[in-house]
Amino acid sequence: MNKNNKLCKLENITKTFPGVVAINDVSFDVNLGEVHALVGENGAGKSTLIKMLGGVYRPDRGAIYFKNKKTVFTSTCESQNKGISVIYQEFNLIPDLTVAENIFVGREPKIFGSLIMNWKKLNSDAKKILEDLDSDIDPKKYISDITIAERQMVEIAKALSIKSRLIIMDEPTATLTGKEVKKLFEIIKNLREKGVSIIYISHRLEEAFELSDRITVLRDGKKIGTKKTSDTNESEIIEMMVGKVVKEYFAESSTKHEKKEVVMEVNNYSVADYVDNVSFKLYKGEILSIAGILGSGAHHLLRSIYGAIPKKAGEIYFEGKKVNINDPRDAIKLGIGFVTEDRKDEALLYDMSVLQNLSIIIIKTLTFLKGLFIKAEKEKSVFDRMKDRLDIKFSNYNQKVIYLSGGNQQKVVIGRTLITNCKVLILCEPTRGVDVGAKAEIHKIMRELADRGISILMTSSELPELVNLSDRSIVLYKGKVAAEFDRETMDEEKLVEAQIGQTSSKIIK
Amino acid sequence: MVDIRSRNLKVKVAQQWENFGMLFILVLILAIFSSLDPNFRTVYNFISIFKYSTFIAIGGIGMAFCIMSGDFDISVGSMLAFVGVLGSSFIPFIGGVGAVLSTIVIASILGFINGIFITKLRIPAFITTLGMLYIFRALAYLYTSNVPVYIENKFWLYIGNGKIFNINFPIILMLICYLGGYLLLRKSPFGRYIVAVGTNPDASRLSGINVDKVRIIVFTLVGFFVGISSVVVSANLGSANPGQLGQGYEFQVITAVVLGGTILGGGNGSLGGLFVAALIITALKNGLSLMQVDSYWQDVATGLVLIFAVALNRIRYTLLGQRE
Repeated sequence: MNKNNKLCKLENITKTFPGVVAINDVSFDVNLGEVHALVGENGAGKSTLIKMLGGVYRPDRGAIYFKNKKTVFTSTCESQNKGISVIYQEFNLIPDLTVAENIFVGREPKIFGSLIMNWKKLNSDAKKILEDLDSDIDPKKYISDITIAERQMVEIAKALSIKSRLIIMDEPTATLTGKEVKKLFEIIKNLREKGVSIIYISHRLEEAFELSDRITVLRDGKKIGTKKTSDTNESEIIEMMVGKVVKEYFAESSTKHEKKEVVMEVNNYSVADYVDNVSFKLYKGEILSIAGILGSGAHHLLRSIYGAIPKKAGEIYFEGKKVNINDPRDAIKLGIGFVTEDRKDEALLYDMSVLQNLSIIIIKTLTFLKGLFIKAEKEKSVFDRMKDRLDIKFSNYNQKVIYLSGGNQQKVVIGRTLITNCKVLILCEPTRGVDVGAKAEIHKIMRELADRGISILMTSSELPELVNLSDRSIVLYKGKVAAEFDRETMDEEKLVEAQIGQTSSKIIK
Repeated sequence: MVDIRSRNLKVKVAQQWENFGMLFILVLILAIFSSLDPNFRTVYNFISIFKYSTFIAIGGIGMAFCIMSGDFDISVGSMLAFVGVLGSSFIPFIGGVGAVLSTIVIASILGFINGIFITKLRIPAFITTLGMLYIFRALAYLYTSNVPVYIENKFWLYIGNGKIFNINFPIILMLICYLGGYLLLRKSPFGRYIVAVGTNPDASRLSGINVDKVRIIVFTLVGFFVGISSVVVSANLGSANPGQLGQGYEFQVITAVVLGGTILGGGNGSLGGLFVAALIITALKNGLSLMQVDSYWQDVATGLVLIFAVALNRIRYTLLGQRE
């Protein structure tokens, strides 16, 4: 192979963390002007690998070659100076600075012997780079005032302004709309033509296939293989990713649910700025989804019902009785469970063990001497039951919850609510950030719960999840009910149309 | 290539450091002073180090809870002085036992008030307790007109100086406090709540924990342990002096908690580490005093030990490849 064709090469890289080998003897290379897709389930080691290129981690063993020179990146700064930009999922932008300032942060044009910022040049330079990207973002706007898609554009502009030869994108489309994704793809293709190399990390295989020249699959920290995109297909890659043939699992509702018993009724419910006069009924043993794009109010509605954010108006009847829910404590007492979409910031107790994370919600009841002391045995037995039921995998009771995979963390969080024997379970994005296998398991668990009479109220931004899992779906658009579908009338296309507000002519009731 | 075996050794050392690192530093300090100064290596001196460490060790329990729960209280030194002069002035009216108990109760109430300001009025803990640092100290001066209260009551004095089976009473009191603290932190639901709130307050709220209530109780506990310390310290001195009592106490206590391995910002911590850290600080001061080192240089030494210990912790995290 032509040696000069390689921009970047990793040789036999190994990186360990306590108890985990995150990257095990991985070799990998990127050609000049190539889009190289890096795929693998959660915990496969993609993030660790790119963090070594970005100078966040240093490999324990192995060597990195960049532009044919052996290199050690000791800091993010160094890797940037050498021509590598990493665009992380959580962007590295400073919200209180303008777009232009962020693009040129640390390299601002100055006048008067570099004492004073040359604002004029700063803004015009920024504008030029953004125009090259076909973007009309105002460089004077603050980062906190622009959309997620625009922020991503700013990250790309920043990478170009420092003349990066290699741009690494970690799940760039995770928070973008269809239109924005298309635009991003165009930009990536343009960059490739200009000779910039790109490592593209994504869960979405169809994106990898559309964009990439080659695909590398990681699993459990090992490299499974690199394929030329034109020589392979999705099912082969999936097999490489999971190590076995997996079909997406969507259990059919086994008992056809009958609209009989109303468990919860929500009337004329409003949440300031987000939800406007929404009413619905939740039946026993059904999975009802509240669908809607970001800002539709779906999340706010569910959070407010649980008492996590205040309501503006409206009534809730629970099992026929009017109830006041002002705090999550009230909801828990009634028998309402809640799983947040933001596992990291709102669910996991990082510094605590797997056992303690699960039991925290009912720990008060697992006690003796009038609630003074915890009954360790009882706590363990309650945990074991939930562990078996949800098939949570962990090494020991004292293992900290951060060391579990995303899927197992999510099971712990779901287990935490189930342990209260709730009658209504509210799930926001139940499978966000979990791998394919765990996703299927969680879907199966949800269906089982519904079959046992628990009512599930969920929201998800994944269409297949909405369509295949819910018995009924209510679509919110700008805080109002835009459409309602049942299992027979629901399909992906109609759901999308309703979510973006294009159903006024054909509301299906 | 890095030798994997030497790396494993490093990781093992790093892991064990968490459990025994502070103990190692304590032994090191004791060994150094013992070899330098014959007056240091006496049984009598070792016991007195133990005894004086209780000042910091008892007050540190409440502070450890507070820091674990993600809060902070810098009013403890002034609070110690205020409740000391107030409580001891009650002796003529309600007797020693009553005065001691009311000192502890008043301190708890002051802690409770801190908690109410912080949670219900949403004033940051740092600001609230900074304000209280001024207020409590000023109240102590105002109440006594800057005249120390001399303590002659036997019961009160016993708490700082008495002995049971030849063991200093403060040491016994401290052991009781640590047993209680341990049970509360590790064996009771409330201990779980403290750590949960410190680790992730949002997740705690969504899990049905009354976060405000937990924080208020924690501040009350800070007061409770300060109350006990106040009696011990003033009994030991034989007087409650509004200007001297608890001067710089907040930083000694916070130093001990941090040195003991509890991370500022909240999360799990260690009472055992705190106990050892209190001994380290006391032994250091004691050793340097015996060698007639200027008291300002003693403070320099304490500061250096704190920075050094936290630096070692950082190295440990790097070795383990963890983020803090």
